[in-house]
Amino acid sequence: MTSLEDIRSMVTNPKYTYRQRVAGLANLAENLLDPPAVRKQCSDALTNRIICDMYEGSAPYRPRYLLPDYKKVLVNGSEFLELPPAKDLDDALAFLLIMYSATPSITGYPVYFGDLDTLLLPYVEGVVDEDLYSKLKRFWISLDRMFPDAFAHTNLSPVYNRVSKMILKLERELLQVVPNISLKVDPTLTSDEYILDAVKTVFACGKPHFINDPMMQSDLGPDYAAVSCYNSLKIGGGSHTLVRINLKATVDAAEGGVEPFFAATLPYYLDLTAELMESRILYLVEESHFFESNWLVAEGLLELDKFSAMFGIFGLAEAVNTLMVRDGQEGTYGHSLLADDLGYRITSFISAWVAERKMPYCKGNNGFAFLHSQSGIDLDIGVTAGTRIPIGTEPSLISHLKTVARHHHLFQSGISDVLSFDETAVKNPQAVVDVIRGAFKSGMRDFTFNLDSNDFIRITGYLVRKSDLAKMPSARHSSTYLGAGSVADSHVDQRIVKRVTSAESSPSTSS
Amino acid sequence: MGVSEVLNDIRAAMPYISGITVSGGEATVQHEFVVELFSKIKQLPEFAHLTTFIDSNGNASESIWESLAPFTDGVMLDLKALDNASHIALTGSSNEVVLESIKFLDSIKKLFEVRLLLVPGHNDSDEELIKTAVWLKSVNPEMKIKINAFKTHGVRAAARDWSEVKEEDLLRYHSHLD
Repeated sequence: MTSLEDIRSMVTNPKYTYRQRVAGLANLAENLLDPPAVRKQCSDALTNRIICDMYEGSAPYRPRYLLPDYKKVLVNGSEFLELPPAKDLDDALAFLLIMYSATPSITGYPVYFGDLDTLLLPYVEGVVDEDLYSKLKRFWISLDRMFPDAFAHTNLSPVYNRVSKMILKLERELLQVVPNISLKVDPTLTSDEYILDAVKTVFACGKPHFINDPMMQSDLGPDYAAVSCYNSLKIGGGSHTLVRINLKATVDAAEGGVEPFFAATLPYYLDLTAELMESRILYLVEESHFFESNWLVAEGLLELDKFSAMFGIFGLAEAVNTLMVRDGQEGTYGHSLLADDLGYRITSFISAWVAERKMPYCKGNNGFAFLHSQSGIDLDIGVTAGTRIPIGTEPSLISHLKTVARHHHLFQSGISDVLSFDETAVKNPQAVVDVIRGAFKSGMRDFTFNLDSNDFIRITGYLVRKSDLAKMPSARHSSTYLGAGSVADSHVDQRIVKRVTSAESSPSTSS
Repeated sequence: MGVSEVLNDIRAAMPYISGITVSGGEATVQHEFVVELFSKIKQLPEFAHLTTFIDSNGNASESIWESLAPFTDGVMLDLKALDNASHIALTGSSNEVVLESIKFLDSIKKLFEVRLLLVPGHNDSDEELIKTAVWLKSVNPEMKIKINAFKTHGVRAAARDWSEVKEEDLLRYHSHLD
């Protein structure tokens, strides 16, 4: 519950920008209300952070993640925004910036900018490269300056095209935190040339994230996107809420080894997680009247029937390691087949459980929640994100991929793993292309690279610049503050780097 | 470690790689092992998509290269110095065999690239670089050259006092060799 002191400190704290204070005050005001009612065991589990509502606020009045159908609005125009259909590139870029400013979200900034190459392609015919470059550059700078939040995310389509090529070029040139980018990779449609261009962009700025397009399409349909910290959801829909269960804390909360965990502890807390989700969804849909009042819904850019909710898990590694010890078994997650098998048994159990627990207003996934491997927040000290291997203990690249890849098919709404390379990878980008193709072949859904030597560090899924961390306190991006907490507490800057090749450079091929 | 164990390691890595490169030490010292390994890779259908390369100091006889050639897609070969006196100063031995290896491998189309490890003050004078470029071009005008810039990280004690290649050195190297 908010205190006057909280409000006073938000108003007076010099480390926040004006806009950050306004958002903070709104959050404090919301938290003066009682949260949606749940049973005592549920609120106790929340208080003890065994389950966690991601501090979304006591009175959900907008969905956590929403993905407006930008394609539709560009073609139809908007009555609410008093904008006619976009006729050319200038129209489209201005229209989109206006859209973003009118899109609600949990952070105050949009989590989805649209699949920008696909959206803009119809408007670039007849625009010469020079003009495309300067127009897109101004737009790109606007995204970073107007929506300074690393969760704001765009996607690129699997087919290399003029716009995606220009976007990657601008990314390497501008080195901005915003937008976060995911590249949808289809093994047959996405060329090596395109992936290589993307890999070189990763070397410069840690983006894009890579996603397995066929796997996503088979779970979510053709119109989906990865938004925020790698949450894959339906375009025209989204996720009402994200509630997550701390698997480490569930193990710590009860005694006993593996079998009592599956028989009693885990189902008990899964049920409380579902209860919390349900109460928040019902409040959002039935009490806040968002879906009856918001203009995006009125104009058909969002549809309640395309929404579901995200059931998140994290701390798998610690849960496994503790249960192994309690059962007198040797081995830790990422380093022992026995431990990895236990990890997979846990995620499979949860996946089956979630697929049988009906959730209200979740027609976007046939009435069920989407399972999500949650990539963490800055308060997670000593608990590893999602199903990842603890930072600093990652095994060799191939063992790493083997441990994590098997979980990926279970998590329809995203499961990001971070693979680190040292700067020698820069000399052999083709090897990284091979790893990317191989990772998808072995069943990975989505993953990202962190390169030791550039200015960017990936915190949980979002990026901050090391140089911005050095500037604390007074960074322009809200997410930088979250990042500072993570670097201090979780040693994300100490991920084990993976070596690909040695220091070399190539003159042009003939001498 | 036997060939079958190495093959198992390769199997585990298979989805993530497009080829195998053996290095060392000096891989050609173990040429019998490499022949056995590479011949398995080239004969077993499960490895059909993998390329086979050797990273070598070039100090191997023609007969060794002939035994490897049927199963090897290419050789990346180090030339420490074209000038024999510099070569002896850097490595303690003559470069005669290395130069023969370059010519022979090029003639059977198995020379993928020549790598020049350039150490400031030891083998990177303008004169030597130009001579090297001219000689390599005389062997094959399309010769692929790779510059390996000397770094002190991970080298033996004797080489620790050599200076590292600087950015401006690298630009100069490329201007002579590109």
